[in-house]
Amino acid sequence: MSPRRLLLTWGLLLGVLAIEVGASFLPIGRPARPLLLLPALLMVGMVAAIFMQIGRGPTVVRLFAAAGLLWLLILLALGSLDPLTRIVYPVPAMERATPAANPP
Amino acid sequence: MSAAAGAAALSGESYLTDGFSLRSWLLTTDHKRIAILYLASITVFFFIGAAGAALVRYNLIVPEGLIKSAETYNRLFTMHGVVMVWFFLVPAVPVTLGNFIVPLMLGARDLAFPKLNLVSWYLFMLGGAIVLYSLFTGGVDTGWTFYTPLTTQYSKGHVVATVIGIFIAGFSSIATGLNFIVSIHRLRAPGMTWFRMPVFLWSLYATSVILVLATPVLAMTLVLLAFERIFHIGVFDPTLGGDPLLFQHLFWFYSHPAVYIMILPGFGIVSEIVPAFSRKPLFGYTFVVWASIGIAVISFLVWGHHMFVAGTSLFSALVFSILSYMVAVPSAIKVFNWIGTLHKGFIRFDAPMLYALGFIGLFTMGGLTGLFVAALAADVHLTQTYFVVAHFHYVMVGGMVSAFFAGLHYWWPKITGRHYPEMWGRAGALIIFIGFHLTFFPQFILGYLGMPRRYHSYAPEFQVLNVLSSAGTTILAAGYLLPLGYLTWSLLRGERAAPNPWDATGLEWQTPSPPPTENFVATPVVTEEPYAYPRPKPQATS
Repeated sequence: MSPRRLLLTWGLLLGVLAIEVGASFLPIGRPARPLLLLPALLMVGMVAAIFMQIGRGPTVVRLFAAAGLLWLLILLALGSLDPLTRIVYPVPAMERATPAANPP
Repeated sequence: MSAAAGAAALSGESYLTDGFSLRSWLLTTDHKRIAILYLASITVFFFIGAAGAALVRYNLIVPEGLIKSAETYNRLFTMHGVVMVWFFLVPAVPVTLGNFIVPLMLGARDLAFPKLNLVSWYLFMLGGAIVLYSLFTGGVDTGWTFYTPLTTQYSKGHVVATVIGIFIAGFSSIATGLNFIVSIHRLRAPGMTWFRMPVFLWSLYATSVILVLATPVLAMTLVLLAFERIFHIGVFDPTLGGDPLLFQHLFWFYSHPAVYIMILPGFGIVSEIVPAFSRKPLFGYTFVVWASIGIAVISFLVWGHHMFVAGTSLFSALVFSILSYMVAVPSAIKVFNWIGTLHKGFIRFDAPMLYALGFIGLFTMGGLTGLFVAALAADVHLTQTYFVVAHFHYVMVGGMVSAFFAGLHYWWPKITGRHYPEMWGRAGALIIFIGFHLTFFPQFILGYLGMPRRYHSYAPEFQVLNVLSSAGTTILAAGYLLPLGYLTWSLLRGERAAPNPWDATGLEWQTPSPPPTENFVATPVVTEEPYAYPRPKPQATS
């Protein structure tokens, strides 16, 4: 793969990243928040197709790529166990804690 | 292989005599020379980390602490943890013994990507230099775990510089892991099928898979931490919409598998040494291999046991507790198989074997006490106490460092072409074993009695055990300095080593000691199973 194409792809990835970061500041309601994953999915697709050349790679390369996704699934699934089953006790609204605000 | 390699081997030339200039070392792409560069580097890091530990133990001789400032104490134990974990324990075996031995074991000329191998060393050194700079110009007081919100809001140390150093060193780990995976897939000698590979290769393969899959998560986590500290983006800070436990989830998703990054190569070393010094094939080779793969997979499922008292849900804690017990199964399989190999073997107690036997005992104690802290109820009592410190030092120092020394002594004649003095080697193994127990066994009791870790001072009733532990540190330090002395001496005065001084199996022993630059005179062909030691004859019964 030519260095020019690699650089172009990298630039595109940074562009999509900028879109994702910018979108996180938009006032998007909770139901529509999964849409924020779309730029990330686009980046995954670009890395897999262009950098990793999954389409043309041997089976073992595809297996390793799939393993990456499986590991991500493990992280998300087991990591979600806690916040999804956590009991949240309401506390009074408080100011952002800073060392200076703490009592001596 | 090439005629040049053949001529070099016949004339006694080796990779050590292939250029003497500094440039020939710093720009080398020879895996053996890069292994030596790494060995020198991690030795320096080891003694810096050990100095931090020595000062910590010095402070704890008296209850009120001999170091005046608690802040300085915090920075010392952080320095010890950061340097030891990321610049010694994680890279030690893969980048030194692995770099040197993997291509030789495979029957290959070099690793798959020699230039990437050199780049990985430079990344490692760059990351290490940044971390040392930050630690020696004020340091960090957060502990090696960098928990938020301490790191993101309160700590006044060089947090960002330290995590940048670790971030860069992480790419070194990924490069090494990739190199090993591709080399093992593509560069095996003719006849070396997957199940004819020595267990050391399997162990490094499993380690590499963890390195490649887990290290990026740490890298991303540290970047997020730095971003929150610098730009106040809300990832971990609840007042900005973040979740402080998210940091712990992401950190331990890397750092628990990292425990197996540290210990799996040690399993591989012991699996080479025990058959060689028992003159028996490895008992249950297939089980040992699959246990390595099993550990690599299960290691990713257990990270939540570090967070039982952090405020995670009970359901989540139960799931992680059960999963944590599962990882004990493949670990126990390995221990039973090493013992099975010893059974009725013709055992020689040379220094590598003494270190390997020490590893088995110390790792077993470390592993079994891990089951205690995997139990929810026991963990509530034991977490954040010296019991946990003792537990992971039995695994990491007693286990991994013993295995590293075992491998270093085993392959020393191959690496340097010289024998170390055997008597001093045995003495070193025994002194380390005794010093280790004296240092860390009292800490099990201290933790059980409730002494918390990471405190500058402690209650007077804990002093006797703390003095014992600190006394043990002096013996341990002597034990670690001893190999530095006699191995260095052996470089100049050691007896010349034959190609196969231990009469061991494995392709690395079929080339001269030290090997020529191109490793083999002719490409070796594998025709038999690994560890094809003659089986012991049954004893005659009268």
